Amino acid sequence: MNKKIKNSLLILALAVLTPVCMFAAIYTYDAVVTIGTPTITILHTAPEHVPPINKEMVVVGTVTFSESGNLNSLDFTYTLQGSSAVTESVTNIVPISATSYRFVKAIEIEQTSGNISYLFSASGQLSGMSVSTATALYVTTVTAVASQNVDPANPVPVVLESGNQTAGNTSIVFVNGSFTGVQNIIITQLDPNNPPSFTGTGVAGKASETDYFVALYLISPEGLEINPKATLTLYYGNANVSRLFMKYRDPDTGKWITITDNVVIDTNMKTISARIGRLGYYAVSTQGVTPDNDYRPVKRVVIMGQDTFKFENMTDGDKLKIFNVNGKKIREITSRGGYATGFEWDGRKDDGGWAESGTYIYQLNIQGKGKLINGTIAFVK
Amino acid sequence: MIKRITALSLLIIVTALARVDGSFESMYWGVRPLAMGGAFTAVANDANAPLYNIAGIANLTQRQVSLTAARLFTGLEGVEIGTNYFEYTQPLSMKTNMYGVMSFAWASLSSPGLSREDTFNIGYARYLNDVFNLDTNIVNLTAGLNLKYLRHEYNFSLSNSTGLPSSKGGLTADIGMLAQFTNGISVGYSSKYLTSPDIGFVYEDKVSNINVIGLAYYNELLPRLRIPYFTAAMDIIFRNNETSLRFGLESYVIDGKLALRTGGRQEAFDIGFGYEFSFSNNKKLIIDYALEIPLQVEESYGSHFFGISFNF
Repeated sequence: MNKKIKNSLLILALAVLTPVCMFAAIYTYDAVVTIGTPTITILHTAPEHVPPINKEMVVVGTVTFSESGNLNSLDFTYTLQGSSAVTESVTNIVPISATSYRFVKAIEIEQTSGNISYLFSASGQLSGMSVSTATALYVTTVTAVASQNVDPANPVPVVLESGNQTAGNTSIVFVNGSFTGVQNIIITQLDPNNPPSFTGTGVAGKASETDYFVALYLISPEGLEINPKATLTLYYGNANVSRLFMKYRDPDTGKWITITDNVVIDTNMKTISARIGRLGYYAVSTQGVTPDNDYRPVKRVVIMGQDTFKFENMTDGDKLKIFNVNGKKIREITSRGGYATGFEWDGRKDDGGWAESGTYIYQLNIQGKGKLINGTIAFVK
Repeated sequence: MIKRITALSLLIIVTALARVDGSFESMYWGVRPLAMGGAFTAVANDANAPLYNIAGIANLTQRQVSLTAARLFTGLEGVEIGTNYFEYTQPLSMKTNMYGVMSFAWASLSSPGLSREDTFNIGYARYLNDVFNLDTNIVNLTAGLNLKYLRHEYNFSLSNSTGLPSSKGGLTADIGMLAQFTNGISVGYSSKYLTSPDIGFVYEDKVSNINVIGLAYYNELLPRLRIPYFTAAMDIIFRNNETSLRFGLESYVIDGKLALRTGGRQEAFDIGFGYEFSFSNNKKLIIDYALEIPLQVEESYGSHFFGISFNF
């Protein structure tokens, strides 16, 4: 190839490659340059309901930057029913990535109805620019009731939000065909420190039982049979105890029965779940059963005609047997009779005559307790 | 066979009708009598006699000291009842039974922190064949008197009552008779709390008189069944116009060293054993155990009785 031809080809190659290389260089530069104003986004889903019993609202969310930067402030402005707006800094903020933060904000609430309105506002430094934003105004209703029409052919869960977004909710989940007809299922949270005055046959004298409650709910319609069973989850709040039990109040006897079917306690979610077969009053209790001593008589020595042995909390259908020290049964009582809050023994034998002075053994057979309660007493003339 | 069935039916009917209870009627003293269901009035031939039939000590030819401890109704949480029994018997002459035998006994039943019953006994019994000119080849007759002090106390801080004394007591006496026939049959009679002392704290509370008739049969080798040193006993107890019945069986095996016992009453079934260790000079150490299974009280592991006696 002569020299002229070589030069011509070189010039042609340069003429073709130069524009291609220039285009490639311009394309790469566009890929790394951000065009526009940096932004801050606050993501939060407000609770629809906050039960007043829990006396707190705990909300969570995230703050996300459009690029790396510093979060200068995050404020929470809320208005309780009948009060002025209050602004507080959110301090529980945890980075979850280079451009995101997770936050938790808790406030105490002391209102039993109405609404709570609130918003978040945040500011930050991004790419040398000061950026700020605020959410829309959220409105949460203060109520202890959740209501839902449930069709047994296509059941939906009924949920009463706890108002604590770091924990679980109270809910009941049905399976298909567990009752007949569409039912309006209502979950009502009650104050365990101020329980209803349960009335009806054999329900008085339960103060010692409810003393151990840390949460109390009415799932209505009371008495509705659920078959197959539903899964009930109860939020128990901030009770810091090692043992918890779900209890059901049998409306027929007035007794609180410990639920034992598939019980699961989730200490992170602060919930206790179990399978139930009937709607009604449910409680979260620190006592699985009424303590034995709550049945035993406090006064263990009784003078004939001056007093009686009182066995508290026993109800019709329970059984009290009295034996002398030779092991002979002298008295059996199966109902309350004239004593309103339990059984009492005045010292008379089954034949109506007075027992002799001496030491006696009692045995209490409490329905559903699974064991006898025993003790000694003395009757004196 | 018909007689046996009739007797058994009568036994069941009488037992079913039995209704006896009351203060100072606990019967948890003496391991051997307990293992025989408490049927001991016509047996009463050892240190347990003072609380069953004082006449029985007249036949003792050695000094005896006996201790019993028991825990009642074990396995019942909340029930703590124990008994203790101590007895010492002293023949007034070691050469002849003409002068009789004395005994000193203490029995206690307590539920700690709640109540306690104590019985203190001084007894005397004597051989009576010489008095009534009875042929010893036919019968051996004895009789005795037991002076008693009964005391019971309660923890009234567990009551609504105030100002009451913590204890009350009273003096009384028992008498007993025992006729042991040479054909193996024995008949005993004991009348307890003869004076019915008033031990009430607030109201009159008299300890009811108890009358007991005991029947027993003894054979060194029971015919047909060939059970060695066999004793069958039954007590019929009368108190407050009510009647109850107790029965028991005993046999000594292994050359008479090991005693096997059983018995019962309306409220309980009993089994037990005893073993005799013999030493020189006719001294004996006897260890006894009895288990009583209550038939009406539920979920109990039973009442356990341990006893040790020394004859010297």
